[in-house]
Amino acid sequence: MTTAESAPGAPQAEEPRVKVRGAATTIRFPFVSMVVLGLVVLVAVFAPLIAPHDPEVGQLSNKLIPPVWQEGGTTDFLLGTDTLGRDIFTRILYGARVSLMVAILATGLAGVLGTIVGLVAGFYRGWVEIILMRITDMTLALPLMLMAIVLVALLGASLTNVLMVIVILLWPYYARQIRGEALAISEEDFIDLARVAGLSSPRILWRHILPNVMPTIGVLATLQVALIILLEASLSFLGVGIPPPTPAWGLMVADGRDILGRAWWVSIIPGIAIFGVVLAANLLGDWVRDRFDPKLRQL
Amino acid sequence: MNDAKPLLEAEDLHKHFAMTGALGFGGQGVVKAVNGIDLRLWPGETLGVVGESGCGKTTLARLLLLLESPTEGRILFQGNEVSIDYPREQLVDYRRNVQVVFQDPFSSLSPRMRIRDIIAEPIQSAGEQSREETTDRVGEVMSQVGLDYGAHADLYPHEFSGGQRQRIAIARALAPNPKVVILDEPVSALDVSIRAQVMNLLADLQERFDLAYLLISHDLSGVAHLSDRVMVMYVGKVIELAGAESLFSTPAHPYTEALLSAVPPAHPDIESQEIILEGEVPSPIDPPGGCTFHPRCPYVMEQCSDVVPEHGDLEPGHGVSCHLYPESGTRSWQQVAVGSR
Repeated sequence: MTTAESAPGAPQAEEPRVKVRGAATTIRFPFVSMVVLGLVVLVAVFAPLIAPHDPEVGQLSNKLIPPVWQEGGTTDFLLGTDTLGRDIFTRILYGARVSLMVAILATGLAGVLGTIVGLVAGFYRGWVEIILMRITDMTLALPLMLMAIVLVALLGASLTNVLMVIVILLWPYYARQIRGEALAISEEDFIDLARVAGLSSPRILWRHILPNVMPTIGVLATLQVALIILLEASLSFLGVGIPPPTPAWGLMVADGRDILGRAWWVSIIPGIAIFGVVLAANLLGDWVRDRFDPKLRQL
Repeated sequence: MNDAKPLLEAEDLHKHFAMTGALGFGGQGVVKAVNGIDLRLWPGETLGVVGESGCGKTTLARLLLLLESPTEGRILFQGNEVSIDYPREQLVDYRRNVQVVFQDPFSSLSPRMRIRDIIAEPIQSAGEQSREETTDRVGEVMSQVGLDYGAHADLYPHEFSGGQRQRIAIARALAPNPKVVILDEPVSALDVSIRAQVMNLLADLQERFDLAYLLISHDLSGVAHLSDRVMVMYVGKVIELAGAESLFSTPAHPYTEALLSAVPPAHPDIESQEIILEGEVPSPIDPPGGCTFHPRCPYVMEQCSDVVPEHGDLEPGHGVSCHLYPESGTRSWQQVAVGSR
């Protein structure tokens, strides 16, 4: 019953495959975005060295000086001063610190929380999954701005509260996406093989599932940085975010909203800063997504 | 092959999956993927398992690997019962001794691990070994399957072809020095040109390390080539079990006969008559009564639709479940068979 197919064939060498770069490399690298974001990071780190004035204390005698290129402006206050006579240029520099810190901390915390929930739900399935995913849905249904206002009314405005609100708002997106991925990866043969090798479930999660969802986490995190900066600015603008006199960009926009006709620079300049950074972060996020995980395109 | 004790035994193994409809409503029906299977695997032998897709071959493998818990029945390793419900520490010995090679070498290697770590995993999880010993062992098994430690150990799976990936999967299965390797369609996903190589490699390794194989396949010629005994499955049951030679030369069950007739002959001039079975493999949700094969059987008799045939020996080592052989155990079956056809 031996047929040709099972006849011993001469063993032939199989060469390892040559690495081929995917078409994704051809997507243009967002050079301008990187320059903008790099600048923001540098400015945030070296703010105390660059800033010409104190960010929180000004002299009332210097109030509402226009930017240098406008009539009445001086080179001492490049971008003008606000109602309390504080240098806007200095406050923009320090504001970058606040935005960046919130962005990094909130991305990290939301990412860790959402990833843990998503991994556990997608891997263990059953009741654990049902309960965790219902909690996720419920979180998404919370009226968050309202809650932020109540929270500030109860506890007072602080950086911690801003972080908490943003993390609560954003972790469900990680949880949902990661759960789906974990579910798909759990079906792969190498997970069964890990069990056959005698690995415990937590080890399988750590060694096999987590490394395979890392690209997704990275892509989501970059995409959310822009959203977080915008959220922090919005919360600060509403007065439920970073408390004054800390120089947060959202707060600065709010400071100038009543005098927009007389002194446009107080609001518009920090507005431009927010706009530029969010746009740059978004473009970078899009590139990272297309480069590493095109199937996330709907996000 | 004729040691006193079988390595791996399954007794009356059942696996039924409950079907649930959308939203948990309309849940009805049970898929009897494995429906009462006994098997014994002796040290150093190859037991082939053949059958069409959906007959429960892979579920059987998953039960034996303790990846699914059986609905009924038990599994013994060297005489001791093992179960998926046992704590992990009690299964260390079983996990080390019973390894597997799956069909798809693209799904069976974690894309983000280096080859050395993939192969080392089953050794590391058993503990006991130092890092140097593990590295030595990885190098050893890699050379046994024809890979080069220096050139390949630090690469990732995507840098290899399907055939090489399957070699990596085999090296990993060998790493903890198992006694049993379950081969679930080990070459079906590979290019035809390298199937023979991998089959030969498996045969060599078996001889060198006295491995027992459970070879699951729908490729009859491959099974014939490698197996000592062959088990034919149909809708969750064993319908014939015999020595490979006996089965391929004198198939007793009409289904086996039809399966064998479907294998293309080794030479185009050899005349062969293919028996074309009518109808489809019945759904394991609602298998036909009596003998599950009766709706397609060319020799169907009255009792076939009512009475489930017993599995009996036609001669020592050749068992069959079929009403054509009412006096299983006597040699008269051949006349019965020939007369009735």
